[in-house]
Amino acid sequence: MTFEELQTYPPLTETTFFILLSLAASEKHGYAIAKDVESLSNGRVALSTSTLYTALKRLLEDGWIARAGEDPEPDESGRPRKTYILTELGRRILEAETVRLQSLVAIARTRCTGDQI
Amino acid sequence: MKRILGFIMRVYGMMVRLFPSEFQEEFGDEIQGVFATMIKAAAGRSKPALAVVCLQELRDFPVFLIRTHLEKGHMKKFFRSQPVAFAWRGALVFSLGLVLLNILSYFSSSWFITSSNGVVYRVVSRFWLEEHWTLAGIGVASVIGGLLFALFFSERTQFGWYALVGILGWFVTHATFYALSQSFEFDFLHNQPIGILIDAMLALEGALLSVMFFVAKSGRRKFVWPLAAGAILYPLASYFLPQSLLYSYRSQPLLKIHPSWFFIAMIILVVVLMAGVVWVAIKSGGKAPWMVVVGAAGYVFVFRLCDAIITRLHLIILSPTKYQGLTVIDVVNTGIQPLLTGILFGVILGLLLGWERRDAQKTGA
Repeated sequence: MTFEELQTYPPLTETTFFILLSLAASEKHGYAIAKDVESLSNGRVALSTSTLYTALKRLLEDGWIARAGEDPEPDESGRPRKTYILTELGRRILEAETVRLQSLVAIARTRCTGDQI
Repeated sequence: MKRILGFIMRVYGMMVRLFPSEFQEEFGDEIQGVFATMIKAAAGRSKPALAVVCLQELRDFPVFLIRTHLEKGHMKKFFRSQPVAFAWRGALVFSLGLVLLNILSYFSSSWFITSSNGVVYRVVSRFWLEEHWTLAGIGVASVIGGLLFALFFSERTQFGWYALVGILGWFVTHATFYALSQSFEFDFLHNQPIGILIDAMLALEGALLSVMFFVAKSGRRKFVWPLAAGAILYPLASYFLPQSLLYSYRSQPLLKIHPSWFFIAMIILVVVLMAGVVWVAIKSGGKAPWMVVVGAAGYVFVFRLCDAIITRLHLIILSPTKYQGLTVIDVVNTGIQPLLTGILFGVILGLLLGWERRDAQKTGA
């Protein structure tokens, strides 16, 4: 898929963007993603399990993320925690979205402050 | 705090079971694990933090649930799933039954007074349950309610059996409650400690119905008989017990029951019958004891909630306009209140029984 084709994707929701961004650094389990998203957004985006797993399910189906395996540290009930990883497609979509956001910011800055791109 | 967290997790576990089975297999354990970690972390911070996490979950959950079911056409399956199917059937049966009971009771009292030159009324008036005694209306509604119960919950070959359970399990007990509450001035019945008696009677009604409901669906027929005996004993003892207590005290029968005697006798009766219901539930095993708790507490809560809602409605209904002798308030009391009560209680019981059945199927019971 070319970069131009990637840019035809509709803009990502904030939740999706933050989840992809979280997984861009390393593979994570569900709770770690939720905490990382909260941290990345300075506490503004607090994901409920419902919102988190709606997004994870869709991202898995679309092939933007994949299951990576199990975290060696179990969860509260002693069950192994499944981890997720960003796929190549997911990474490229995240990059395309970042470029789109950058261009938006640049346009806004030009209009608001008169700066040149 | 540990018990609160345990309770929240149990409720959340039940919520997760509303998802399609494939989704539960793929994500069920994982979601519960994440949620457990979230609430434990929040509880470590403060109680308000825990409340925020739970409220956030409640806010997002319905949308998530519907979306999951809508994907790949799961919605049809969802509505056909055992708990949901039982919930809507329960809502339909109990709301229709209650509305019918109230309407027939309402209109039959005037029929009693005018029929056969008032002969029926005069006969009935000899009992201490004299005013607004609406036996025929309640009887007809009980039978129809029982048939509705059988129609919605039984297999075809067991229709008669279920009808019997439906009539005895609840409509008789409700009729008893209704008749008693109509036999005295309503203000008196709402005074303390009689208010406690009303709640106790409601709790008994809810518990008895729940357990009847459970034993009928789980096929544990032998447990129906003691419950049926209790249901028959209830109206009879409601009539004789206060009088016999008073008779042994004063050695003479009184036509009018004094409120305090009535209260003592009825509390004794309700406690004894409730103990019987609890005993049967424990013997029945499974989730029957839970059915007693949810049925008893749920019915009192639903009844009081609907009562509060209707009271608020009365406050905003300013015009007591009459249409064919009926005011808007009559319609609200006779129709809307029982409708609301029946829907809510039916949903609670249906969901609980639906889950019970699913457990039984899973364990091969």
